[in-house]
Amino acid sequence: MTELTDDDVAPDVRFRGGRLASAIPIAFFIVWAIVQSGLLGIGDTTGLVAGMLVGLVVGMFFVKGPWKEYADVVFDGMTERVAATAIVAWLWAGMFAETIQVGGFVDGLVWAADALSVGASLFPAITFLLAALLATGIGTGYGTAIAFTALVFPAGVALGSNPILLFGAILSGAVFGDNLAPVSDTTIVSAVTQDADIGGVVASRLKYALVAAAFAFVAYLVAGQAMAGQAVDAGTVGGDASALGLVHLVSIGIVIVTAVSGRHIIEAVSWGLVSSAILNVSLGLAAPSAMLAFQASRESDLAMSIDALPVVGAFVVPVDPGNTAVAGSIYTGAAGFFPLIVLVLLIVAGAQVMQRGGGFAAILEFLLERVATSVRRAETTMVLGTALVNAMITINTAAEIAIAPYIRTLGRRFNINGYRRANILDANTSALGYIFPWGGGLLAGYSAMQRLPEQYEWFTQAMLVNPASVWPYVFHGWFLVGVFLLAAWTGYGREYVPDRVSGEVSRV
Amino acid sequence: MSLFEKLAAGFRLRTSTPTYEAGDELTAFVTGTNGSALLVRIGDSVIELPDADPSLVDATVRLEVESFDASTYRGRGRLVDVLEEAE
Repeated sequence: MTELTDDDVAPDVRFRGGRLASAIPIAFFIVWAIVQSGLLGIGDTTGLVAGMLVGLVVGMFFVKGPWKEYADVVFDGMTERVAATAIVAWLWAGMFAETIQVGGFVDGLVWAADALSVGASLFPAITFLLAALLATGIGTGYGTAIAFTALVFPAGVALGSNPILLFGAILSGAVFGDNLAPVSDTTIVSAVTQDADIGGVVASRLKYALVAAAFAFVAYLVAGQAMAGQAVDAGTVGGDASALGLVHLVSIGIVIVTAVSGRHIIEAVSWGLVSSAILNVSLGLAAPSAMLAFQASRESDLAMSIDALPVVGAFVVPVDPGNTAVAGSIYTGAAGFFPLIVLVLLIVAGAQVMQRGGGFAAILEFLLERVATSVRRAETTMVLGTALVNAMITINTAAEIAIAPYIRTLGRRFNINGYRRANILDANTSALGYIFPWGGGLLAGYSAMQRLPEQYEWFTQAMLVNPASVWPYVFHGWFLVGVFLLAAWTGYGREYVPDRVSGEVSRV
Repeated sequence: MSLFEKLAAGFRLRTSTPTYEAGDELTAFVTGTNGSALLVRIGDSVIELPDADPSLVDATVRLEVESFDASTYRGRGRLVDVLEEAE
C-alpha cells in the first residue's frame, strides 16, 4: 500500500487558475469521451487514448513554473501499482476467456440453457447471478466482465436476449463481486484505509449488497421479459454435439478454487489457462494452433521443417508469404486489451496530476467545510463524493485510493466507525467503475465484445453494444448507490465508534 | 465476536443523535475543541471533556459520561484513558 504515502514526498504542481485547473486533463478526457461515445456513437478505445493524450498536453499549458514537474507527475502516475493490477487482470482474463472460447464453451452454454429451458427472457437475470458468483469467487470484476462478455454474452444473444440488457447484467455481476469479494482490490483498499479488518468489513457489507442485488435480480427478470427478442440463427451452436464444451466449467472451477484458497490472481488464472489448454487438446475441442499459431511463410525452408516436427510442428501453420502472423487465442486474447492498457496508464497519470495539483483536495475541502454539517449530510457527502471521483477516474481502485483519506477524515469527525466508512467507500467505488462509458470494467467487457464478430459468423456488428448506451441497465450499480443514499438518510447500518470499534487489519 | 454477530451488527436504523447515560464508558475519537474543552462528536450528539489536553484532538480515547441531556444531545464526560495518540 505504498501508493498511499507517495504523495507526501513528491513536489506539488501549481496551475494557472488555481487548484481546480489541475482537473483539466481528466475533465478534457471526460468531455471527449462523452462526445465520442455518447454523441457520435464511436466506441473506439484508441480514440479515447488520443483524447487523454491531448488532455495531458492541454493541461501542461496551465502549469505555473517548470513543466518538468508536470512531466514527472505524469511519469509517477503511469507507474502506479493500481494500473499494473488492472492490466494483469485484463491480460490474463483475456487469454483465459479466449482459450475456453475456442474450446466450444459458448456452444456448451447455449446447449445447457436450452436443456434447462432458460429462455431469452430469463437469461439476463441468471447471467447476473452467475457473474456475481464468479466475481465474488475470483475477486476481479474486470476479469469477470471480460470472461462473461466473451463467453456468456454471445450465448445469450444467440438465444434472443437483448444485448444491452445482457451486457448490463454482466457488469452488475462484476460490481457485486468487486464490492463483496474478500480478495478484491477495492475491498482490501477500503478496509486498510479505514482501519478495519477485511473479514469484518465483508460481513458488515452483506446487509447492503444483498438488498441491492435482490432489487437488481427482480429488475433483470422484469426487463428480460419486456426486452427479449427473437433467437438468432446460429447454425450448429447449441446442438447436441456442443455439450462437451461445458467441460470448461472444470477450468473455471480451478480458477475459483485456487483464488479462494488465497493464491494470487496471476497464479489462479494461469492454472485455469493450463487446464483449459490440456482439455482442448486431449478432448479434441481445439487444435494447438487454435491457441497459439506461428503462421510462417510456406516458402521458408526452416518453417516447413519445423512444421514437419512432432509436437512443436502443431504450432506452426504454413501460409502464403504475404500473410505471416502470430495468431491463436493466447495472442488475440491479450492483444484485444492493448489500447485499453495504454488508455489506463494515461488516465492514471491524469488522476495523479489532479491529485498533486490539489484538484481533489479543493473539491473535497469544500464538501467537508460547507456541505457536511450533520451526520446525515456527512454520510451523503461521502456517498456522492466517492461516486463523483469514481465517475471521473477509469480505474476504480485508483479513484478509491485518491478519496480514501477524505472519507476517513470526514467519517472520524462524526465518530462513524471503520466498517461503515469502508462500506460507503467500497460500494460506491465498485458501482461507478462499471456504469459510465469510460469506466474500466465497461471498457474491458467492450474490448472483449469487439472481437465477437470475427469469431462467430452469425454475430453481426449490429449486435455490438455501444458503451454509451448501457449505463441505465447496470441495475446493481445503481441500486447499490441508492441503498447507500437511503442508508445515509435513515441510519440503516450506521455504526458509531462507541457502538463497535473495528478490528485490526490482519491481512493486506 | 461470532460470525453471526458480525453479520447482524449494525442491522438496524441508527439514530443521528445517540444518547448516553451517566456512568457509560465509551471509546471514541476526539473530534475537535471549543477552546476550553475537548469535543467528542458522535453523530450529531456532543460530549465535552473539560480540562483535557488539546493535543488529544484526533486521538482515540476512553471516556466516562458524567451527565447527558437527552433533549439537547449534549453531555459532559471525563477522560479515562488515551488508547491511541493523534496521527
